[in-house]
Amino acid sequence: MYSILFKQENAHDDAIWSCAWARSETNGMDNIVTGSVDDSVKVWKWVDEKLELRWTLEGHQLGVVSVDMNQEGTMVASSSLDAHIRLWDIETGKQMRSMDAGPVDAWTVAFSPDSRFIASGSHGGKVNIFNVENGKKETSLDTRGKFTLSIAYSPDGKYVACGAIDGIINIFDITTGKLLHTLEGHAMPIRSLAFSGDSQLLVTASDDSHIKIYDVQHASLSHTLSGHASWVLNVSFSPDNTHFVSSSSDKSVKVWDGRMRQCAHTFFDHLDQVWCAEYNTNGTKIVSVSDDRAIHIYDCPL
Amino acid sequence: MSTYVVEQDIFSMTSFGWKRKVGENVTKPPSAFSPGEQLENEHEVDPDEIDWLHAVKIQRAVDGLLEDSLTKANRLKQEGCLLAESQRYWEAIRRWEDALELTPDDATLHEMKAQAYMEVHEVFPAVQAAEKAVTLDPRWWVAYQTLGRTQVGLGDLKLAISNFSKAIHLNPACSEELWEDDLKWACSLLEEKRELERKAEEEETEGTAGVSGELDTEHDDDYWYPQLPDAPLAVGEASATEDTDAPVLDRYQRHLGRFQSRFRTGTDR
Repeated sequence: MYSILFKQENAHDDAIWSCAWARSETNGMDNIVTGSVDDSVKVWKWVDEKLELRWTLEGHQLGVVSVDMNQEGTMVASSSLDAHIRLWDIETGKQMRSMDAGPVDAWTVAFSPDSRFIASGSHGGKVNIFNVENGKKETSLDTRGKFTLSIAYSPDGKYVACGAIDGIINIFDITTGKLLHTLEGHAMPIRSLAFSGDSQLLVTASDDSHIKIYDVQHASLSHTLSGHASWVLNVSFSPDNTHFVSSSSDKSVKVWDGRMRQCAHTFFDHLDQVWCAEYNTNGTKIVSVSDDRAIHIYDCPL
Repeated sequence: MSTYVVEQDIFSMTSFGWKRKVGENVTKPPSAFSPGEQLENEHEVDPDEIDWLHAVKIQRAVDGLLEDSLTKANRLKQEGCLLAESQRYWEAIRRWEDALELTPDDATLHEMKAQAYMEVHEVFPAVQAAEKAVTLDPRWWVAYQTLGRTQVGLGDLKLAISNFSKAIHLNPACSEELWEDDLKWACSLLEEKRELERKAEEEETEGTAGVSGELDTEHDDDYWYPQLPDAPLAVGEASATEDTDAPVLDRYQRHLGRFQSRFRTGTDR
């Protein structure tokens, strides 16, 4: 049954913009990472049905726009408004690397499935790919479009999809660096997109309050979902390939059944807009963060 | 509340008319507005002016509000804009307050009121009005920008930086102005303030015992509270024998003054 399990009130000193959840492959620990406008990144441990603060990672000079964890759950990447991307070791809480992407040249960050690269969108519409090993910029994919707000690697490592402020979606082939598809998905900013676990579907979230589902192979729109009353700020796929979760300015978190194309459940527990919601590794729980400074954990039937 | 009105204003932001830009010269000849004519028409509704085409839509949206009160609120709003443009801020505020009696949930009215209060150096009402605008429309980046500016006026730089950041986060492709004139400016002020505080503290510790270990633990307070006008006194008393304190705090006051005068005159820094 869908239910709220836990609330961490006042998790940060200000609005929380981003979160990620991954299980460490080295010690099996469930780590949740949150990034806030208060400049800090926090690492929490989910144990005995509650959150315990592990680290407060300090170093960013301005609000943390985006956080991500690698597949193995050992590293954290975070980006802030001052265009610095920082890499942290989750076990020691120490900063491993700091990359200055240049003015306004980093927004969302995403780890590649093999943990070797970090992709980040930028102001000029370019997608910059940084090498985790040395912190150097490896390549740059040019969308020839507007500000790239959102970014996602396909889990099979073949594609990078990015969403722009003008609603255009671009899909790149990573190995060749070629632009495969340009989709005129939405007429308003795309704040988030996500691939399904089998890399077959791509879902996009936009300020137009709609969610769209695309067939990646044919680059065709398979469905448009409405239900949120305001901007859709984040989407994230469940490992089961069918469900995904969305969060919105209407203060709600919605779980969708992608196959039935309908909303399976709505959580109305936050007091302000919900910037991010993510699944855990096996799809049994969801974490969400909001302008109300709280972290919520929900139970999710499989 | 009437979402119809707010939505319309977000997407056609020019329609409500007045957003004070840093560096923009808004002085207009007073003749651009003749108050006599406007005042006479204030309480009358010309039947020809009623938009019968959209009346049904508005009726549904406002749910109970009379159509002509909306028209009146809109007219008061526009009058306030004209007054603000001719720098008659108090009169503008009065118009907008009258309009708010009719449409209390119009975030743009609160936001413009906040700007006008800043122009006449009424910082606290400005902050209150801007906070109201943000509460009413938390997705509207302009309200956060104005709230941040009022907080710079209050000297609460940390909160100002937070609100400028939120404005950028809502609208990442915003103008250079928000990045450069608002966010970076507030950051440089905060930097300078910390620097001055560190110096002041160093001098203080040198003067007393020279305990340098306390330095790191003490200056983690990033707020410059509104009672700072008293703070120079307090610091001055603590080390009244030292001449160096006065120039330091003077410089800090001047620095903040620079922002306020820039805001007032609209000239670039």
